[in-house]
Amino acid sequence: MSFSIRGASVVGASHVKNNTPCQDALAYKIIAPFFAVIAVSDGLGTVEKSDLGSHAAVQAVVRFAEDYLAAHPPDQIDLPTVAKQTMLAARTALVETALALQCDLKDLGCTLISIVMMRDSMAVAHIGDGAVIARNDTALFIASAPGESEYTNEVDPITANNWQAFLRISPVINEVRDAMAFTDGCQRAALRKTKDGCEPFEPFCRPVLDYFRASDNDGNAIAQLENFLSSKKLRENSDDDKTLVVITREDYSDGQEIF
Amino acid sequence: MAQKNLEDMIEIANPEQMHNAVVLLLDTSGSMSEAGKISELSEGLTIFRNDILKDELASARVDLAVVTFDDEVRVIHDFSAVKDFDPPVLTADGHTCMGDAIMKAIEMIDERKKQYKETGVDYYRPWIFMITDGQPTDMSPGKGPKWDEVISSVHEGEAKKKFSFYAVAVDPADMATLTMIAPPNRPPMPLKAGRFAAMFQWLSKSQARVSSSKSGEQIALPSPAGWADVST
Repeated sequence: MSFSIRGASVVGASHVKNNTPCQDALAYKIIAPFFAVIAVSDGLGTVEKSDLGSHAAVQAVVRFAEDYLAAHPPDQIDLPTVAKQTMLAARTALVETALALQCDLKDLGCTLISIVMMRDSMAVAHIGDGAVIARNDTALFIASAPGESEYTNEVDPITANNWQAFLRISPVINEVRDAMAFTDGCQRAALRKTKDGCEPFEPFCRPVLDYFRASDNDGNAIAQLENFLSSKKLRENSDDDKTLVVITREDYSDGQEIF
Repeated sequence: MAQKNLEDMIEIANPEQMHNAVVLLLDTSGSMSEAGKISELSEGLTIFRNDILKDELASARVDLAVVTFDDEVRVIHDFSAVKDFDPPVLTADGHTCMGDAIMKAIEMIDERKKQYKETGVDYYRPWIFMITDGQPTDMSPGKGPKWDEVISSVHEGEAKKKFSFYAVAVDPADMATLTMIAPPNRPPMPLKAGRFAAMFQWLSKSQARVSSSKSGEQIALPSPAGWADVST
């Protein structure tokens, strides 16, 4: 296996207080030794069934990526195209879910980050807030930034009528050593604002990536991650649901490619 | 995983609280002295303060300013945490400089947002919450540049999401004029007689919800049916 992925979602204090479920959702799969997909979604707190929306969205992303890889040889895969198509699949799944539940599409409102990674290359499709940080041999950098919004709690969800206007697709990002994605519950911990937007906050991102790179590939890693997301430092920074997922290339060790 | 606790290894990029700016714009013109309205308004401020302080999150995030308007516009409390707001006993006298008051509130919001940006503070969409029982005496519908300036500032500000503007009409407010002033998507809400306390409780609950919510277009607020005549 050439990747390891550790991810977890924890319910936020405000959701416990208001008796609402965790509206974040996370799904990921290492579909082949050289190919992985990760989906992260944050259901809007102000709509009724956003937890169902976020779960439907992430599952659709993974399902689509699996089907796509089964139908296409690796040398024909264009990662940004696949990333974009996972979003279309998620949108379709949300429309179908709304029909099945006999509710408005907007009642399923959620953000969505879809990451497809093939060997050391990745692409991200993204709508709403949350972010993806990647690291190569030399630096941490933003692979996909939160959608632009003046206000901290207002986002454009994938359920919006004009959702494609807010959809961002990254180019292919090469030589990725490891990466992390998170919902906005972690955003104010992990990102620092700059004049032009934002940048990874190294004293948060680097220890997290290093920690999971060094960790054993066992079930404890996810429990550790859940404990981290529920820790005092993160709870005090945000009372929202929190999702964090880390993908590490296992074929990479001390700057040496193994395969 | 023979490592020390990850929590101890990281630092937080933005440890400060997000801010939620609210300007209360209160009519203290002469007519408010009738039927005990001004004392109910004063009591309402205390209720609002106490309710916000009961909610840990809203208490940490709401950034409150209070402006009164009669013959003059007065900033009786500039932006601060609610715990630092000492509700005054209001008195009512004079005319209704509503146009100037609205422009003052908008200017204060712009300035506060600038400060947030300069200090890197994340913030919610600010609220301007106006309570009046009259009609503006410093401008008239369709007459003069001030009317045009106020109306376009409110309507554009709302449409461009610079702030959310709420108008509460206390009897015998001029609903027709207030309807022209308020944003088209949020008409003025007529206060049921004597329901100031319930209105301020709704306002504090709404601020608590804003302070803990994530939304697409519109935050779902509690129903104002307990204090507003929503059938109008």
